[in-house]
Amino acid sequence: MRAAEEAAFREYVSAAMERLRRTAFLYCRDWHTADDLVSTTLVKLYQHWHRAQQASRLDAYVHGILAHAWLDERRRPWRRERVVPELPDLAQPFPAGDGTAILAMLAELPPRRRACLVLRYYCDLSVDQTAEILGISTGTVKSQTARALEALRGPATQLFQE
Amino acid sequence: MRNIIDEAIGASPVSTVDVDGVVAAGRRRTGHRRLATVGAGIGTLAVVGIVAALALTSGLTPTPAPTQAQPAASPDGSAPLRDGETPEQAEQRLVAALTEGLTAALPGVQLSDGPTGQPGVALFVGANPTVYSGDIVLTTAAGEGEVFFESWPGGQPASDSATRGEASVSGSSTAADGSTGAPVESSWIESCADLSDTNAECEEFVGPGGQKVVVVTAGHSEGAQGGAGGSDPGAGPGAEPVDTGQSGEISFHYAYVTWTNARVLMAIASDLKRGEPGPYPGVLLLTGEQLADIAMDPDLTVAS
Repeated sequence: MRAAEEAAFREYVSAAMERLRRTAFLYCRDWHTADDLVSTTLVKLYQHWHRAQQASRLDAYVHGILAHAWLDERRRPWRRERVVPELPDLAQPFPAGDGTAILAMLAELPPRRRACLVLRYYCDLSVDQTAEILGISTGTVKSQTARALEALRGPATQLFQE
Repeated sequence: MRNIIDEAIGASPVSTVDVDGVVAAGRRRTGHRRLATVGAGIGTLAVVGIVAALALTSGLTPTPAPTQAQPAASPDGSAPLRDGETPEQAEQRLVAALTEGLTAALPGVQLSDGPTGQPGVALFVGANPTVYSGDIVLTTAAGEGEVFFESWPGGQPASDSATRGEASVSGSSTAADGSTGAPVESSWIESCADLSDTNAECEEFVGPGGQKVVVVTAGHSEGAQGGAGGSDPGAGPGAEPVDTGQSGEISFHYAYVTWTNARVLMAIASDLKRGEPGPYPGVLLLTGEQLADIAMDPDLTVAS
């Protein structure tokens, strides 16, 4: 990477850092892990910066790296989620006006469903872009998103549909 | 919608993302990847790339190849440097020797750090064991060239935590389905017998200091495993740029020097792509012989 490209990379990172950290936090709900994910994402972005700049939408490209970094991270043995005898009831409506409940309910969603919701409604990516990032069909994105919204039904559904 | 979620998240804590560290890790990974690309057509370096991919995707932790002698470790676990020399002093010595060698071979050349464009030679120091690596852009009236450099004590090129899996490694590979494959071992080309590319030119000799020197000159189409591009003669100071004539073809010289207790690797690459700039400059500014002369300098070794 030449000096001009690295300057552009740093400029992009500076501008996108906060958004990336917050998106990563939505995935994992832990700021230390979120920063690790962002670091991993940025190293990969650096390696592919030349190609990334040619992407039709750089932000979507980067959010794709981040989403996969998180999905990969979850597969690591020390990150695996615990097996419980019974799944928690996902249909509990969160208290109206309590915004933090959204985060708790997001965390209850299965990973790919959570990723669909975050990419679609927090990163403002299209169905097509989300499908491409996650390597699934647009129909699956729609159904996963619909199920996620269903799980977050009640006031949350209204929020996500606004 | 986003505002509501942002409100729920609240204020972010102070970031612990180290952008300089990210850039350093990216630089080192990029350098290794490009070196692997350079060697992809000549044999075991292709294995390096494959193993690296396996290691990175499977979480495999590579271990140094057991077949090569490693120097005794320092108390802190890192490989020893020269007696009485700190890592910083070793770095300064290597930078000075590289600068001297390159400027002697190419009078008037301007040297700059490839990843950052900063003037002069910059080395990245990997830890435990210590590996010094650099990506140096040479600017002359004939054009630009790019040299890769690595120096490390003892045997295998090692990797720090950011690049694990991209240096020479050995170990078991884990397939995507979780099954463990046969042990894989790979190394840089240390002998002409290691070459799988029959089109490559290879010379092997013992240097004046008793060091073993392997010089490879080859070319291959980018992305083509096994390489079929044939070699080119390179270009000396003031020579015309080499046009390999094929889209996406990489030409390179590679010098690998084995001392009793240290290794030095240097490569100069040229990539000509018609219609678009390739990842490498389009000029081979040094011949393989010149590259080897520089790489044989004992001042480029990390250990005694």
